[in-house]
Amino acid sequence: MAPKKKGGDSPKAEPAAGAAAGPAADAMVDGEADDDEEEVEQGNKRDGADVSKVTDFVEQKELDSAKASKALASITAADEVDRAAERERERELAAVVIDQADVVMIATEMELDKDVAERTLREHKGDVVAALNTLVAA
Amino acid sequence: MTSTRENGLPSKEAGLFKQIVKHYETKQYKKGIKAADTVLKKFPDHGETLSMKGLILNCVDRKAEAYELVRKGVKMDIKSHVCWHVYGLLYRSDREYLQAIKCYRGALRHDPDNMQILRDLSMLQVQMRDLEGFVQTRQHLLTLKPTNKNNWFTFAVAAHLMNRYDKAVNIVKAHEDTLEGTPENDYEHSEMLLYKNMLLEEDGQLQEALDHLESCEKDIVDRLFWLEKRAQLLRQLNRHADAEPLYRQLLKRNPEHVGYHAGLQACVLGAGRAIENWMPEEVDEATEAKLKVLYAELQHHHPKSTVCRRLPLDFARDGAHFRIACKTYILPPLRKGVPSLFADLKPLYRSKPKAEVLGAILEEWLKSLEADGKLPGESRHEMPTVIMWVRALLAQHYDQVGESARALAQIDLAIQHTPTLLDLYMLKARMYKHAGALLQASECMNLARQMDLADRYINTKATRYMLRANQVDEAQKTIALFTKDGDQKSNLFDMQCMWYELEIGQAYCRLARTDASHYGRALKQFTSVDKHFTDIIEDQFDFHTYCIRKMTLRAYVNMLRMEDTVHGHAYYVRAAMGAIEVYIALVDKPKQDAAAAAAADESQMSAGERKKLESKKRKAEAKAKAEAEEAKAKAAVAAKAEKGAKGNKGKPDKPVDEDPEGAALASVDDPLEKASVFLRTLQQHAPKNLRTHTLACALALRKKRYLLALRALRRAVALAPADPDVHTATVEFLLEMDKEAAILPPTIARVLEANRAAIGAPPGKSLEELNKAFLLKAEGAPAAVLAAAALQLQIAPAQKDAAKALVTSLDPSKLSLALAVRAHTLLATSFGDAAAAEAFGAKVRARYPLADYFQPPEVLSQGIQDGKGASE
Repeated sequence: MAPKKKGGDSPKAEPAAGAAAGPAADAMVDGEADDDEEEVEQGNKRDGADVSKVTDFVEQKELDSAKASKALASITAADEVDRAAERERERELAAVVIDQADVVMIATEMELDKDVAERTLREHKGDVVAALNTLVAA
Repeated sequence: MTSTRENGLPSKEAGLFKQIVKHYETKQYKKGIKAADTVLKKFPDHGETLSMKGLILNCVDRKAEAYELVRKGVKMDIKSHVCWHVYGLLYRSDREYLQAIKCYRGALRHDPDNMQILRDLSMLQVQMRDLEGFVQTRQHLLTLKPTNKNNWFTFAVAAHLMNRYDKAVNIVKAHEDTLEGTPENDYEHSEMLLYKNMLLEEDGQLQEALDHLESCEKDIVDRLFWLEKRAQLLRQLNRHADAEPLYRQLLKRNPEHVGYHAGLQACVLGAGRAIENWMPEEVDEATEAKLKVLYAELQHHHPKSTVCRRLPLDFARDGAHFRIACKTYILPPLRKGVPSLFADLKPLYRSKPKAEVLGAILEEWLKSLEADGKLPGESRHEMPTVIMWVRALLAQHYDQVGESARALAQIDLAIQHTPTLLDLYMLKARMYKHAGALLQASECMNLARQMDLADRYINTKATRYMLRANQVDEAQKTIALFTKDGDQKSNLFDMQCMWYELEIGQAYCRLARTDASHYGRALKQFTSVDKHFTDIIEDQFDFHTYCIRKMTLRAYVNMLRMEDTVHGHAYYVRAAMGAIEVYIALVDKPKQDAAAAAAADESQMSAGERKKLESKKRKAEAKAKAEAEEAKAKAAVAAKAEKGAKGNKGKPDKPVDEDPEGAALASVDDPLEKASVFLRTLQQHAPKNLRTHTLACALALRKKRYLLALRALRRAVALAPADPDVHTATVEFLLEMDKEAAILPPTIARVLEANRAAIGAPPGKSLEELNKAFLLKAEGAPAAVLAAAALQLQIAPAQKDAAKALVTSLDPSKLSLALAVRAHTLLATSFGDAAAAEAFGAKVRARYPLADYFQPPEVLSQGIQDGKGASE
């Protein structure tokens, strides 16, 4: 187990309602005790029934991992298609020849990050006027 | 996971290290520091111990040391995820979330599957709305530990926030499939089902959502919500016959719920859309007939329901029907004496015919009561208070349609009838306010306040009216009557009392026109409001874990969405715009002063005199600066003393406000940059507000960012092409462009040319033509005429008289008070024609005899003194 850096000392300390009501510092520490099952279960054993009422924590049944991973797999497959298209697009963009002076100009005039300016310029095949026209129309 | 070998300590010290962690968790900070010191004595360069000591010091408010130690810890043991994690925690405690995320990422490089760190990271990601990162981290956590229910639902919410409904539904389903037997916790199970239902509905799968809802009827604990949702889904699926009985059932539970009424109406009408507030033009004859029957029936079934009587006023389009509905609705609260009755009638004034009927009814009643104490068509004598309330209503009616004199006469009669009723004085104060007599309004409201010193509401009202009349000191004293003793100054800030901060900020803005030292005070107030909104954003942090654990997923998602749009709230928008205006004024002011000085110089001043004046000015500036510094120093000393005193009492220290007057805020080096920060938030959160874009344009012009100005104009034109402010901004932009044309970089010039048509100024059309076309199109709308006249003067100063004639020819009786003021200032300043201004002012005075602005100076100062006398 990792050393519990952020003293989620005992589940009892968690606010039962309105976690945000307490002083920020306390809430920051307490609100974080989080969902670490083992911790809470231990807590229940240690402190008896009261604590389980306070936290309303119910012991978890093991989930069917076969079904779970199937569901996850279908999602990741869909993501993979998106990502491949995205990578292809990135490659195209990287090939565009641009003038750094144009990037600086776009970044200053439109008050943008250089990354964003450069990307817009690449998306417009290095045509600074076209890039600016798009930005102005945004 | 920190075994002895890993962190390089022998077993004795390793034991101590574990103790440090434990002490930290149990908040025994002193013991923790002691243990850490013991380890460090032997191993002064042990990174993880250094970090832990730093973390503990952070908890006992020794921030500087904490950062030093933690940074040293990371340096000593750069491959330790513990050190990086601690560094992240430190940043998180100071709300520097972006830095904290970087540190967590550093930690994960050395221990990619550490669930604690992953969880911490994910919470920061959702707080910062790095939703893609959030999904990835939660997916990682879920694959690491799929047996934890919370991991499933946080992942589902993550997908939901990315609008991946199918994914989110699949996740909930996958979890659902693993459940066996009866659920352990009814409420949580019910919430889970309703969350799934929410996902289906938001995905647009209404039929599936309905089927799902009906299939899990017995598992839902929140019966009311189940009913409401089922009725709504049936209605949206156009199954009106099935939905109608449900809405009737709901109305039986609560006949005052406007939403239920709207639903039922839609069912009866067979309409696709439920309308809560009918606009007169939306109602056709058939609709009115159907609704009339419905409400006759509903009023019969729910005789006590106010809403059942009120709604017919909205959809009645026929005069006779409206009359009857009015009588049915108004009479009971009138006899009872409900002071807020008019507030409920006010929305009806959107329709002019309805307003006229209302006035006629009230006049009729008053006449009849005056004659024989009875209402028309009634046989019984009314209580004596009824005539007083009718007068009050009628006065408010006159006020609403802009007849201030009649309103005041009527309310005075009511006051004569019952001089002890403070509501009447409040109404009178409001009438003064609408007549432009802010000082008298404030005085009158204060009179009402003195009639009930224990009433917080009237105290608040009086404060607000004082602020509107720029009586800042009086207002501060008045509001302090209801703040906590001892810390009046910070109390209103601590209570996030934003209406007050906005009003006093705006009062300072008005005062600053004559005394620039108020700008700082105004900024102070506006930045306070900004801080409140930052706090509101901050406050969601604790709920990321709490809501998932409690399974209140629907409420959680709604809360996140609310936080996403919270900066679009009217209070924030007002504060941000106020701040931007102050910053712009701070930039413009010195320029204007210089211009005025130059003008004076040209006309009469000798070189010697000018030098004298300049040195005087410089001295004054230096003095002001010195005073500001002194005040700052004094405040610091006072704060220190206070701190000491408080420390003795053992109370927790409050952070000291080092700039209570906002002088530092007003003397920043880059006011335009500061304004831009506010502006960017507005552009993101209030893009539908026209002023966002006109301010953006004004700001960009001052920064000489012409393309940004162009973008702002394009957005403004898209919103309201015919608006006078937009037209003004466009022409002023083009004027500036003409001036700069020679030195404009060619790229920018090309972009400008390409976009001229989009801002309604195609190339080749002169500014004069543009202005003329605008004037023609506006067809004499006063605001447009004023804008065009002011621009005409700028475009072609030679044709001054033609432009002036535009203004002087305006009919004051058709001007709103604000426009009349603008016209007058235009004549007096831009045209510099005092005589014309005075002549115009006299005409306006006939229309608005009470307005402070148009009073001759001697009357006004008299009025102020009177006001002061009364308030003391």
